[in-house]
Amino acid sequence: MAETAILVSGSTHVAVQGITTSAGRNYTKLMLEYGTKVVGGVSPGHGGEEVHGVPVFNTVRECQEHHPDLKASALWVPPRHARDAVMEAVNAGIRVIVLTTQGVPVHDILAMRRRAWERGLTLLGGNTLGVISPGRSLLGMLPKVAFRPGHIGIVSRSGIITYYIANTLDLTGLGVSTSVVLGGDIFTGCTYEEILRRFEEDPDTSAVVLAGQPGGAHEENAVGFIKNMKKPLVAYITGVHFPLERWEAPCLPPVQWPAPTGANKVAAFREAGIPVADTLMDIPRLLKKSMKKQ
Amino acid sequence: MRLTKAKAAELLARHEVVFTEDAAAEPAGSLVVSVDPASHKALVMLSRKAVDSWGELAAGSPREVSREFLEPGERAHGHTGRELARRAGFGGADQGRVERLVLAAHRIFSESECVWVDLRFARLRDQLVVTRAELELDGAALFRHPDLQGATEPPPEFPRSEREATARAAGIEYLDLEGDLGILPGGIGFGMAAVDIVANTGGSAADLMDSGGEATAERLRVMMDLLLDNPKVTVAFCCRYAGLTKAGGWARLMTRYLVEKRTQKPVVLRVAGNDEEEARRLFEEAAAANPEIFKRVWTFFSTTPADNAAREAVALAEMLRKGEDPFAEGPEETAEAPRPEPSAPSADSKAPRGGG
Repeated sequence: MAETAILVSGSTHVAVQGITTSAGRNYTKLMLEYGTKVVGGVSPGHGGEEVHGVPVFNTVRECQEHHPDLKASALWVPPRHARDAVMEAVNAGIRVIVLTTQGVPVHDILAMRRRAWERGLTLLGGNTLGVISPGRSLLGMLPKVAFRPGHIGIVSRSGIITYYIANTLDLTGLGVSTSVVLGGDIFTGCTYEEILRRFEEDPDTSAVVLAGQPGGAHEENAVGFIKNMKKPLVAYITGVHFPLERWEAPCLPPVQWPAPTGANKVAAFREAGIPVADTLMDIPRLLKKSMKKQ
Repeated sequence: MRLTKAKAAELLARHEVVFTEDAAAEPAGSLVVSVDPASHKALVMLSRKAVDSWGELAAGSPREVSREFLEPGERAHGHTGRELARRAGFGGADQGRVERLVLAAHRIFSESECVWVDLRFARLRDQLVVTRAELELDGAALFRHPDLQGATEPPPEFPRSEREATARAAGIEYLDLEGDLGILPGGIGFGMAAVDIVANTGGSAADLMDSGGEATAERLRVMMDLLLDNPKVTVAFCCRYAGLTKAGGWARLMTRYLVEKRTQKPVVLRVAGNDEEEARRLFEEAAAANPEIFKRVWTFFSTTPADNAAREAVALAEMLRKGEDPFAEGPEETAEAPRPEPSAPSADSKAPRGGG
């Protein structure tokens, strides 16, 4: 297992924005117990306090002045403050930003994503469980029990499905290099392609599992990149039998065609020659087959 | 959240666009401003047709639609509207009239934080007027727009079954499906996967449910009753991956429920994650104390793939469909149920019943 990992390594200095919220406190503890180097918290008006021994600052820049190597931040802030908090991290040049908040306004996430992209920064979320490189680092709230170290990268929109994929890999002797959750919303700060590009360059990752779901165009957008990847990739798209039109999910923009159903996404992948697993146990089987071909 | 017709007309009027339902108006075209899921940019589309499905028209007849993309936060300019109009085939003075519509629609989209603004417009005397306006607001942004609060249509009412209505009243997202296998999946992320897995192993799900989050006795009771009181359901398949919660707490609630419910329907459980050993102990203890009830409860843990546990549930449902009684000869006879495929890892040997 390499010491470094895509996005966040064991030595990466991390801040927690919204550290004095209930969730911020709980997940700071989770990350500290995992060994993540949480060097500071940020909570306006709470500067000078401590949470689990972590000093709290009023601003990200102030935290950065004390910890010049600050490279990543995880945020537990209410939706109405998400844009301000993310822009603060972006303007401070924080390289990896994990926005766990659910219910972030659409126009806010679009603006944050654009700003992060212009600055060459990675914004995961909103509505993400974050990123874990088993045995090295955790940024967010993915449970350590689900992930064993290994060489398979996972990138997913849903958080919980990554537990099941990692558990299934574990049962067949495969472990995880890094698992990244983009976030379950239709509009998110980061694309599959951005993460796949990193996996492609990561010496610790030998193959990748991409987990997708109905809604949005994340999966369709990734097809072109995947076709040119050197490393084996297996897709697992859930919701093939999901009645999208009957589920009271956030409204889908009327400009997308074909409808972003699980079945249409699977069809797009298969048409491009990308292996798609029908069940969880298909994932390690197809991975091993693809890796053997390499 | 759809803005009321009156409020939509008011917003259009602020931008000097007339909204009318005057039947004398002659249809002239359609205009939509939305967010493009592919590029995450604002997308403005214009057509001379009366458009019902923008995506379908743009994909099937791209020449019928002119399109412009705008960066998030970027204002639409006059030339954006004129160019859209020109490409859609509007000429002369109409180019300026369409330009005004485009600017108004994009400003409403940005200022009111809409997810989309979908307009039909028509010619009335020498001007273009809006005859249909669908303005979909982003509910998450409504806190910034007190003037729009209370100006939305009630959400569309879907026809609901009694169970769907019960679930809704309890704050549980639930849909009836056509099959006979009830599924309690944890969060909706795995809920979607579980329905697929059941279908791919030859079964058919009776429901789609979001049963995630911290369980309480009451919430678990409502969710399990939705499955077990459904006459179509012959077998319940329950999966729990305790990532940030504890499997032991869930197992305690589930064993209590099963003892109280005394259901005759088989229940297949798979529990994994934090505190899994405590969950195993609780199920074993409950099975020893209540053998009659628990002979119909099969329990699997993280060493059995979720697929295989689903396969066991599907096989049980199949036997019941054929009129066979999987429990007739005692619990060990359930070996008739299909075993995991030889290539799959072995199942839990300590499962109270069935073993998988």
